[in-house]
Amino acid sequence: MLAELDTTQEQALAALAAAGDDAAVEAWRIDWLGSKGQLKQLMARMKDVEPSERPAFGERMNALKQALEDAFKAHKDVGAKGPSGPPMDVTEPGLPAGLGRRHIVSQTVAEIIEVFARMGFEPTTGPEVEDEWHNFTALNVPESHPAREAIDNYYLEGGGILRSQTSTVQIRVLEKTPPPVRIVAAGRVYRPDTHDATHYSMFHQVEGLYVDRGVTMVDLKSTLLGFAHAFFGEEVEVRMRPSFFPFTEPSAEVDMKMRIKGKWQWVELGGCGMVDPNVLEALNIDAEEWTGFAFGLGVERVAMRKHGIADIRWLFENDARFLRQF
Amino acid sequence: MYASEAWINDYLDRPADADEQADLLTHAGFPLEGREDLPGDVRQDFEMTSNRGDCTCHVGLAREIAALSNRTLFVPVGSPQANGPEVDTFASLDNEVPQHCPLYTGRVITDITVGPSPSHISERLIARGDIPRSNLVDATNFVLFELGQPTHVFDLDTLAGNKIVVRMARKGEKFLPIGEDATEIELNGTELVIADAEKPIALAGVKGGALTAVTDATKNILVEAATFDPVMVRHTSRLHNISSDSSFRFERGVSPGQVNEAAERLCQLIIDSAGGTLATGVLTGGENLPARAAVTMRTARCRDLLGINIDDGTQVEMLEGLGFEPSLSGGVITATVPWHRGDIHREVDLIEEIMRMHGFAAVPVRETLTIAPAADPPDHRAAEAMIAALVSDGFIETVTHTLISEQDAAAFLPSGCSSRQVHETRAAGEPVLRPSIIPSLLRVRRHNADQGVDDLSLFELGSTFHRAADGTDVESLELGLLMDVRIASDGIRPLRGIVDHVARALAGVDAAVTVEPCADLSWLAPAAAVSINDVCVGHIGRLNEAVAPGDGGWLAGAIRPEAFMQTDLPEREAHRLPEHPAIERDLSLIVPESITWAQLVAIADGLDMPHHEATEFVTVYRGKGIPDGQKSVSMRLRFRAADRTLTHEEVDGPIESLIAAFRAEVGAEIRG
Repeated sequence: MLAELDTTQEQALAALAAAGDDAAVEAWRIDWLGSKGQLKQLMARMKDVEPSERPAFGERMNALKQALEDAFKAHKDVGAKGPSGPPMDVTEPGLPAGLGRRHIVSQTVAEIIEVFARMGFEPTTGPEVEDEWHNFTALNVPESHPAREAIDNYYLEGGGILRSQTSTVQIRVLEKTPPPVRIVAAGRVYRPDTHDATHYSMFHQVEGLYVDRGVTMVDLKSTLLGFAHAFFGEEVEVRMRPSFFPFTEPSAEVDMKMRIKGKWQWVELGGCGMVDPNVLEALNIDAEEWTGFAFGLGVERVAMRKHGIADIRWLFENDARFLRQF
Repeated sequence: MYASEAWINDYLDRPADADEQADLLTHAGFPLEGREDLPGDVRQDFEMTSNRGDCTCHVGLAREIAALSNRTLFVPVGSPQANGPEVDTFASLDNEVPQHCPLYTGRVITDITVGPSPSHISERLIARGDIPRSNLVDATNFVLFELGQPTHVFDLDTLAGNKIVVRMARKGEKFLPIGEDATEIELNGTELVIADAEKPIALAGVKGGALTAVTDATKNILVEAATFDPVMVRHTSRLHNISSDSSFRFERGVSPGQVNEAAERLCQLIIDSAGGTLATGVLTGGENLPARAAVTMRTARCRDLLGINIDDGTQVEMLEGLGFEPSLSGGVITATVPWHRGDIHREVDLIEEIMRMHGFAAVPVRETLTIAPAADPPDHRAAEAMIAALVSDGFIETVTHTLISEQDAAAFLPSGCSSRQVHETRAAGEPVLRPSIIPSLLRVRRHNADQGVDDLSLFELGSTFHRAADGTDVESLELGLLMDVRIASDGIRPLRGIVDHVARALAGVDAAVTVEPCADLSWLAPAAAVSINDVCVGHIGRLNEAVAPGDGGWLAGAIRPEAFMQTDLPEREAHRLPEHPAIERDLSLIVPESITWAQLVAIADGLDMPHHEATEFVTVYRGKGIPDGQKSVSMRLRFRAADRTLTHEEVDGPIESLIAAFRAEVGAEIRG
């Protein structure tokens, strides 16, 4: 009886191998695995088997059934992989996937914000039309300061000014939120300028502010170095050198050493410093208890250096062929 | 600031080569911007900050180098012998405006001989990039770039009434500045001038006058050394578009305390090279010399702010090196501020000096930072989600200027509102803060068309501006959308699909978007109002001929997303998938053009058909076989029961009643 099952398996597999097309394979399935097929009939013969042999018979029947099902499945899979449809030249070029593009300035802003967000800075924003209090006075820029000159700013008819720096957001945040605060804000700033390869009357800055008890210059340098390494790579060299801004003291410029056209050069990243006590006191924050640092980075400069963009005007022409490069 | 390597070394006990000078000055806050090697010297260009006028001269730079490298600074002192008659026998001085001119001094030298400068003067000026003129002019330039004090020399014999008056200009007065190409200017009365008895002879701190300038024939001179209000100097300089080394210096502040030393040095140099006799005494007009300021700094506060352990003794030494004459008592340093450091008033100013001397390179870096995890605020999340949605839909993001022309802005101002503008003088023809993103997108689209780039979908997320009818100034975020039309018969649907996607980014996957016909706008025809969850957020439609003539009917939309950027997305609970199959029935109706899809859906929904799950849009057909003014709308109705498989018979009845309703309510004819 068991030997008979072996023969049955060989016959069945041979019949499957001989099945030429889908219809023949389907006919084989009905013949062998169908509800009235040969396997079912064999199972019905269980009652003719000696009770002592029944477990062995059952086991062999199960193995047979499994073997036929596996063979059928394998046969079908092979069939599915066979040629169907019209001929195909796999070397033809791809169809455009129809994906859009984020503007390179917007990409750069998002990448910078993301690095600072990982360092615990909360992204925020502020208005582009400001009053002189937020753009100058609160930032320790006195009435007589040359930065207020009409020629260097976009004053609005009927009052107000297009902000000349994102440092205004520092004031907006500290007016609403008592320290500790740690924010990062990106946005447009405006300064009248004749447009050329390196000047444009609108550009983007990323502003950072951290005010807490015991914030020091060490925190500022560590944060900026951490950013530079995360954004440009571990090998990047960063230096700070003394500078002057009305709203920070001590103030510094941050430079990064980059290879440009085969030559190592220091490139300005932006300005930074410890928040000037006058700024905190103008907002009724006790400058003895709270200290902080602030920084402002030029987005276009970063993007242009990173991607070898020679002319800032290319960024704002918005030629789709240019924007699709990034 | 151009500086000569050799000139700086004139004031140091040990010379520093150009590289060392550049390193030390960069360290001090004056980075090298350019370098030119000359025979026997190096010309270097150092960047200056607006607070450090004292470093726009060679002694100032040498002082920084000395402080940073343990060198000794030698400041040259002039002590000319005054052997002539009393100065007031030659001229008189009247300072009418000491508030604008805190100190004016005049010295007279008679019987001088104008000629070339000695080589030790002219060589230094040449190395800096200046052209030597004469021993008088060169001496004033030398003192300017040695000590940072601008001075001026008048030909005494040309001064009307032998008089110097420091006063405000009179409206309509004429003045001819020194200079080969100079033309006469008219003063408006807001300028500070130096005048003689009749006329202005100098724009104070900015430029001397041609009529009283020294010439080769000059014999007797009046030497001016003064200080002027920086704001006044800047005003005059900007007003007449005249800038000079003097105005650059005065705009950064010159202390009255340093005027006399510089004047004596200048007189010494003139007498050494041009001979002559110095009159006895000085014409002086102005306020009393203020006392030198004393500023205190807590040494512990300095360490706390910087986070660096610099001991008290080192702090004292650093300030000493910079000339602050510090004294330490009980952890507090009292520093007497030198005249040339008018930028030092507060404790934190001294802390900055300690920081500069210590150097940023020596600030330690922490490997780890303490952070409090920051939440991603809803507005940031929403903006990122909208951008991601649009980019995945094939849109290209643009970044365009906020300022546009009045002409471009006109059609986009909300009715009853006015535009916000910058002052015309700075605007270069584009003074309007854009009331919408759309005109900017149109400009980009046309620029691309000019370059032969077509088939574009563009968006920009940016601020827009207007003044509302009630006078309120509005700044609000707008998402501008502009799409080429690919298949005209698709109508608004391509843009509607984008709006649906944006709405899900803003308000979650269950956001209910409605788009309803509305009156044409000045830039959209037809126009439709878009609402998300019953909040109107803007308009979409086809750009009209007025703003986009002959472009093939670009689709555009202006969406104001801020109402949905203030809160997090609603929590989303998963729905179970249906367990039983649906029955679908397709219907094609011929209806008048005026019948909208929304009306047909409303009729279907209004019948409350049992097990009706959805009414789906299939297509609209116009053309052969459909009468003019009508269209064929195909829809698919889906029915499903939650607990069993429906039979076709259960759906037949509702479909019949639906067809009847379509016939009765909109005169529909059922196709095929």
